[in-house]
Amino acid sequence: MDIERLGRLFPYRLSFMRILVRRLMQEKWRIQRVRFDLDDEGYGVSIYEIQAPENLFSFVVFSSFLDPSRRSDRVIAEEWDMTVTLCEGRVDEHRLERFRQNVPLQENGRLDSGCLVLSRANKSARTFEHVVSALAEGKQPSVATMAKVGYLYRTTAVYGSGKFGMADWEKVRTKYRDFGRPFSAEMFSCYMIRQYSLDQAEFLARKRSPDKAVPMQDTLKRYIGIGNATGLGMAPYLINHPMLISRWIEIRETALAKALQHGEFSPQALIRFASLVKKAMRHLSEIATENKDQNAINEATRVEAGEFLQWLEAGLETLQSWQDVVAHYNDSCSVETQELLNTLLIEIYPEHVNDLEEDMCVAECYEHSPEMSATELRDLIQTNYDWALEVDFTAEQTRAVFWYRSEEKMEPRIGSRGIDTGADRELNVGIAWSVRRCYDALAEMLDRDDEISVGEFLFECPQHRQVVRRLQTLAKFHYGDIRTNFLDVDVMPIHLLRCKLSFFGVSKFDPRSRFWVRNTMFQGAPLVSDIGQEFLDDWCFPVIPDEKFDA
Amino acid sequence: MLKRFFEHLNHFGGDYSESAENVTWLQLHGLRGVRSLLDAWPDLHHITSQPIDCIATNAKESVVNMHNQSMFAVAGSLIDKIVCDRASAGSYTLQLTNCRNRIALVAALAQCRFADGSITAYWRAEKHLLLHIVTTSSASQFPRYQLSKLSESDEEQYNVATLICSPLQSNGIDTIPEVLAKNVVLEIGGTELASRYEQGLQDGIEIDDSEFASICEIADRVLVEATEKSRQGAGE
Repeated sequence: MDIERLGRLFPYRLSFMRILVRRLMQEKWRIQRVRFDLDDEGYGVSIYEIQAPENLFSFVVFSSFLDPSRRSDRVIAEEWDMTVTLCEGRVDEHRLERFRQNVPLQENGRLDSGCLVLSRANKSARTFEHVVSALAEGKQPSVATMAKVGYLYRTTAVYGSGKFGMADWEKVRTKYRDFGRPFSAEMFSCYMIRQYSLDQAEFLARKRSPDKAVPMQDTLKRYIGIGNATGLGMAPYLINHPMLISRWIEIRETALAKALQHGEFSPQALIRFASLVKKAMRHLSEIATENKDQNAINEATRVEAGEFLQWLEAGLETLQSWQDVVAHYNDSCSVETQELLNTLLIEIYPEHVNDLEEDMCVAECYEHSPEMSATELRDLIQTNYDWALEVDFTAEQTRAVFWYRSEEKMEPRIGSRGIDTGADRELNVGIAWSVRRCYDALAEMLDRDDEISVGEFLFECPQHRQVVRRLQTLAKFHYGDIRTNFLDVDVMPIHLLRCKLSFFGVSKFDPRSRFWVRNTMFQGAPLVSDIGQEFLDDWCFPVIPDEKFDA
Repeated sequence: MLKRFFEHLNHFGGDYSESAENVTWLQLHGLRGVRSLLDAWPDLHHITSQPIDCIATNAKESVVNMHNQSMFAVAGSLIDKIVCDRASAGSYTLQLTNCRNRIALVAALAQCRFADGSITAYWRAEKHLLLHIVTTSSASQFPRYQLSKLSESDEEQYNVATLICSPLQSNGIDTIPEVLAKNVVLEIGGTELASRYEQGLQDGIEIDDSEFASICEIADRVLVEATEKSRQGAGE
């Protein structure tokens, strides 16, 4: 898995948000706001009850005053505009009180094993007040203003899977099967934060101007997503869950292969494809980031996609197969554009692709083979980790940085080796470096005795046990480790963030540095009130609604 | 948190994820993994640079000095070794001296997979006249864990554990010296362990508050002090 390509992925039909929304709509989940105890400033407690096919869940929101000077996207923040939890069952007063004591504390609180998610969000300073004011004045918010941001609140951390006393993933997977797919409960919580942000904004507009206020039009509501800020904390996850990431990549590649192999190559399909390319181009042109490099990439992709579209439309009568189309864009377009077009190709064949959503989970179990001969292990390293052996670790720059956890909320950070404190407690993310050391130790032992087993090698050198288990296990997977040296001076964690976020389904990547990124979730997705209505599952690459909202 | 605990402990190497999983497995199955870890902590935290070594070996058995290392950290390597040795020897015995956290063998044997035969481990309790016996076979999903009452005259030593890898299936007590296994007073089999797992999954893992605080305190030693400059290392 090449990190440069991983860092160019787009959200697609099998991204977790897309899967979640399909389930909400197809299974007609019933979501009701059962408590909305807010004061005139919009602070207080709200509870939504969610009746899913197998269980009833509650989504509990605490909103409170936050001094604007203390509003921060960083995980190290201590206060937020909104804190939430998603839990199983109804919430009585006793449980609500426990939540009141713990949920606003976030990482410093303790929840119970009936809870699935703990999260928080902050208002967007740019949009929230604008929306409330406009609605209070009886107007719809400015589409232009909304287009610049795209959300009212931004999440800054979403915790699940056993953190802070919550239900372990194994329990979620087996007991709360409505959320038994990767990050399903976490994505649903973000979806509900979006819903709450819309409800709260309308509530405040009515409070401010009971006679004049109007509700927001649904078309504009759908265009409002939920913001997200993601930092380095997400990067070690990809390194520490190689089997899961390998599976996700495999599913994506399988989806593309199925579209190519089984998708009917017809004029209708080509027209649908062209239509999606146009929509994606418009989407790209509407992204507003402060990052010049990202803006340039978006524009270059839009231009390339336009050139491709011209080629496609000129060949509508003569093109013979998807293979011809893919060969053309692989030859003529950048990696970013290639991945965009791959995404769109997958999009047009739900009948061949959607069933893959059942295969996103994998049992993350390291099963190694102590009986394997050490020579076989050496050969395996030479074959599968040639990219790691090619790194010259005698060069200073190849181990110039180290990753560590800060005492401030265990935030992962990167330091300069030999300069910054903490190298003695570095995180074990340097897979290439670990492989190199293991390989050298193995070679040394084989020089002495070339008939030893892996078990004997590890008995002598237990420090290599972790990496040996990893590389023996990943040898059974189609895609193995991410092929990059995470200790290099030029390491680009932002590629890891975008890769994982694309599988979540986020759009509008807005890198703030190579360490963290802002993005938008659920923009264009159906609203809670749309559940039960006709659903076309076409909300990808959202564009500004063609309406006259500035009235 | 347990992974961070072993990261702090594991300067000698090993696989801290596997170690943490073993503690969690015991705790989830009501076998007090955290308590065992903390009991051994005074010995563990200052001897970790000394690797285990084989002090005697022949075709059928080896004696290994563990230098007071935690079985949580090295059980996997020991089981790998005995599986490999058995492959060439038919059956094989590992005698382990100076080892701590021997209860970790229950978790490690529960999670190991091998092609055929069985592995049995036994050791004398530190404070009681009891022998712990655990056995797992290639055919079973869960190990069988038994306690046998020893008599004053039994000469089984403290801080020693014995592993026997056999090509045959075993119920544990048929593998070890008869004199040590004649008085089994407790047996926890696969059904009971499966039930405990289900209960733990439903209710979450119970940990005593003071034990939790102790583990946190040690685990937090891998955290790096924050400075204004370090904050740039995640933000820029």
